[in-house]
Amino acid sequence: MTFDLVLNGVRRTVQAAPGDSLMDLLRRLGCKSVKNGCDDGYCGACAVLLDGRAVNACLVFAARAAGHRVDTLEGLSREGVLHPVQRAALDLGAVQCGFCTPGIVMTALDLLARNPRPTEHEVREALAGNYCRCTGYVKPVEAILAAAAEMREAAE
Amino acid sequence: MSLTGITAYLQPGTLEEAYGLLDDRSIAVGGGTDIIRHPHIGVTTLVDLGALPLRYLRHESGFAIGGTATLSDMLEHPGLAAHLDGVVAEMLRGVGSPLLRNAATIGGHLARGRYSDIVPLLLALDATLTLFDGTERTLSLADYYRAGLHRSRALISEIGLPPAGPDTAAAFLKFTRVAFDYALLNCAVQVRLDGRGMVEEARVAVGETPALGALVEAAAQSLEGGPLDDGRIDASAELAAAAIPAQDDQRASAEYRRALCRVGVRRALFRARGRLEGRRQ
Ligand SMILES: Cc1cc2nc3c(=O)[nH]c(=O)nc-3n(C[C@H](O)[C@H](O)[C@H](O)COP(=O)(O)OP(=O)(O)OC[C@H]3O[C@@H](n4cnc5c(N)ncnc54)[C@H](O)[C@@H]3O)c2cc1C
Repeated sequence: MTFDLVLNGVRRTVQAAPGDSLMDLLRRLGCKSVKNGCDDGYCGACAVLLDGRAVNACLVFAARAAGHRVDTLEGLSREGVLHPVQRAALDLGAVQCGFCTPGIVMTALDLLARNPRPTEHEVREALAGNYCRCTGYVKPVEAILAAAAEMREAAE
Repeated sequence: MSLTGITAYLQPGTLEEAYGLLDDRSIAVGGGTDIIRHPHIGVTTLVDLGALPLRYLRHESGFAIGGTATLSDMLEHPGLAAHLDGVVAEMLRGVGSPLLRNAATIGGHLARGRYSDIVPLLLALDATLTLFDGTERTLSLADYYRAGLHRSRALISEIGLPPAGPDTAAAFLKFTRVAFDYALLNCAVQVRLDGRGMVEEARVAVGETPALGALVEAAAQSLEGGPLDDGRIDASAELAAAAIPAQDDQRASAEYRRALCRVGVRRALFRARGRLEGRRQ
C-alpha cells in the first residue's frame, strides 16, 4: 500500500505492506536510529514520536502513521546543531554503547513537551520502558534534567 | 514485529462500517500492540479502529471512556486520576511502560482478555461496557467475560465507571518479580459503607491466578453487613485465597498464588479502610 506521512517535518509518500510495523518501515526509509532491540515492546530502543507521543515503533502498524506526524532522532538536529537533550546526553556521559540513546532521547522529548519541569522521579517513570543494557541509568536521568533546565531558560 | 500474510489495512470511519468489515479473515485493531506481536492464522485484513470518533474521556456523574482512548489518555485525565483516591492511575502506572500506554487502547485491552492488571480493578469498580455488534447495548464488564463476549466480534465502543461517593473506597495491588512485568497475581477491592459505618457493598476481584481476573463473591459477601474490622478483613482474605482457581504456571505455583492472594486482599482491604478513615478526619 502507498500512503503519505510527515516524517521529521517533511511530507513523504511511502510504500509498506499492510502488516508492516512502523519500526521496519522507518528503518527501510533510512532512519537507522530506530533500533530493533527486542521487536516485542520491552526495550524501547525503537521509540519514536507519533503525533508527538513516544511509542514503541515495533508495536505500531506502519499504516497507522498514514496522514500523521512521525519524528525520529534523525530530525532533531538543526543545521548540525544538536538538540539540547542530545547535547546534554553527550556532555554528561549518558551515552555508553549508544544503542538505547535514540529511544531515550525520543521518550524524553515526549515527557518534556508535556512537563517542562519534571522531577527526577518523573524522569525515571518516563524512562520505565527504555532499557539500557550498559545499565547506565543515572547519567541519562541527569542529562534529561539538565536539558530540561536549559530548554526552560531558552524559552524564557 | 511486522505481520506476514496481511493483504489489506482498512480504516473505517464509523462503528457500523467497522463491524461490517469483520469476518473470519479480518481482525479489529485498537492500538495493535497485542495483535502485532502474534501471528494470526488465516487473517488477511486489519480493520483499524483509529479513525472512529471513540477517543474521548468524559467526566459526567461517573466516567465515560471511549473504546479507543489510550491508557495514557486515562492516566493523564485529571478527573480520572483523582477518582477514588487515584486508584485507577495507580494501577495504570504499573501497566507496561509509558511507551506502551501511549499506544495501547482500553477497548483493545479489555477485548484481549488475558494478562491484565486493568480487568480486576475495573471489575471491582463495577465498570460497564457498551458493545456494538449490529446493535448497541450496555452490560457489566463481569457479564461480558462471563458470556465469553471477548471472543466474539462485538466491538467495545465505551467503558463506563459509575460515580463513587465519599462512603466508597477502592484499592489495587499487583505482585511482580520485577517492576516492568506481568503480575504473579493482582487484586482489587471496593467497599461502600452505610451511614452506621457497616459495609453495605463489597467487591473483591483477583487476577492472574493465572486466569483472567474475576470477582470472588464469597470474599465480598463475607464483608457485607458488618464493620470493616481486622477480623472480618482476615476472614475475607482467607475466603478469597481458598476460592480462586489458582494454578501452577511458569510465573508462580498455585500454592504461592494462594499465599499472595491472602496477603494481597488483606492489604487492599486495609488500604481501602485507611482511605475511608482518611476522609472522616
Ligand atoms: C511490553 C508489554 C508489556 C505489557 N505489560 C502489561 C502489564 O504490565 N499489565 C497489563 O495489564 N498489560 C500489559 N500488557 C498488555 C497491554 O496492556 C495490551 O497489549 C494492550 O492493552 C492491548 O491494547 P491494544 O489497543 O494495543 O490492543 P490490540 O492489539 O489492538 O487488540 C487486542 C485485541 O482486542 C481486539 N480489539 C481491539 N480494539 C477493540 C475494540 N474497541 N473492541 C473490541 N475488540 C477490540 C483486537 O481485535 C484484538 O483481538 C503489556 C503489553 C506489552 C506489549
